[in-house]
Amino acid sequence: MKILIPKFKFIIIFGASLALLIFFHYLGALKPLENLFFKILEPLQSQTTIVGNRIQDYFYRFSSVQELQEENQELKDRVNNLIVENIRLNSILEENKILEEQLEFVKENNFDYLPTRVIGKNFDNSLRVLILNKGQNNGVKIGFPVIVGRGILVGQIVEVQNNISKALLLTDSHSVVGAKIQNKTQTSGIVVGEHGLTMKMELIPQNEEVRKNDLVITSGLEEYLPENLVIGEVEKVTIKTGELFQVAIIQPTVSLDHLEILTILKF
Amino acid sequence: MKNFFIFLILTLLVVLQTSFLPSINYLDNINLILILIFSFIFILGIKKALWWGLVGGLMLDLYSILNFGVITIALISSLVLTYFLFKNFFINRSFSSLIILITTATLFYNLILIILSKILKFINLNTYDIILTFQYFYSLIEKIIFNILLILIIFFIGNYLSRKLRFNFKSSL
Repeated sequence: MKILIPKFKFIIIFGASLALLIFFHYLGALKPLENLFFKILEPLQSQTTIVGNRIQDYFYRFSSVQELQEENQELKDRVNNLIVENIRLNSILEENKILEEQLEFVKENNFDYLPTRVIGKNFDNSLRVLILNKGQNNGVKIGFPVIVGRGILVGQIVEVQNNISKALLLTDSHSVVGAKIQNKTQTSGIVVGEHGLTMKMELIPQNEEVRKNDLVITSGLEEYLPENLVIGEVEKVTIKTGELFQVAIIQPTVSLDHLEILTILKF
Repeated sequence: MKNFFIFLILTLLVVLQTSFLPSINYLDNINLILILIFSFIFILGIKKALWWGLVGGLMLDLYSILNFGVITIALISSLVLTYFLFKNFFINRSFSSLIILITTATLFYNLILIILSKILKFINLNTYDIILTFQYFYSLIEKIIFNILLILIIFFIGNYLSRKLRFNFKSSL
């Protein structure tokens, strides 16, 4: 009995601490502490994400002998240009270029925008989420689209805190976006994520003609999501007899694994 | 001072877990926090391991889109189960025991995550849950393998470099 009492006391104290901390989080009482935590760690997170992306890029390039040979050939062709470019380019210029491209797009379309940086990712690979360094204090709201380049949709904001926000990538199985195909009839449907790897477009009527490499764009039917943002390209179309709809596999036009600088559209 | 140092290490590993590791294929299977807290059972004892599990879990919860607290509960539950198995069944301190324990911890952690996320989605407390697909189970096997590899590397290095670690490992049994 004497042995059991300290154990029981520990369980009570521990359980109460856990319950209170979770309760205070939902109450918002821990917000100042949480914001401070994010603020202190943001620069470090941002840099470690960049380093991670660079390492992944390096391994991706040399992942097979064939790729290595192609890469080698390509490098030989470009070597003279690269020598000149290497002197001129640095990471800041590169980032500016990405930002410029995104700014050009948002200005052309009169969007209110917010440049943002990826500071982290969902640590469990069963969910595809990016952690961005802009939050409620910058006017970010749930549902805002996140784009890269000249209007390429990569995801939508699903959670907002004071200084950070979380964006669900299009390839996550929870992602659903209204879309249309850029063909003669502007075929509409919905694009859903496929296990974090790719996307599929559903609810395409059987009589619609969908071809490989057709561009898939947003239909603009949802709140906060403007039309004509690029979702991806049709890779394959599956038509099953006896079914009402056909399904198209959609490939994103950019790699969603190596995103660093993005733009949130305040639509 | 010692606690502050552990806190710094834990924070650094949370940063790596949420930014560096998810950017790299295969390494995104490693759960550094689970492994660190798991190691604390042998180095610091179960009570301290649980407190640090609470801190690490809550930090990870801040970066997750699952309900706040879900990861902490999964982490702590897996620790308690691992400790229970360690005290009652795998007391011979062999490498095979270590492998079984880390496998159980990883499996139980993911199982609790699945169950909690499904329950919370079912009662409409969250939009997101862990979707069970072939890819998920494939990645679960990868997670187990990578966690085992890392814990073995840590164990070998720890035993090689520090007699103190070995002493603490034994004395905590």
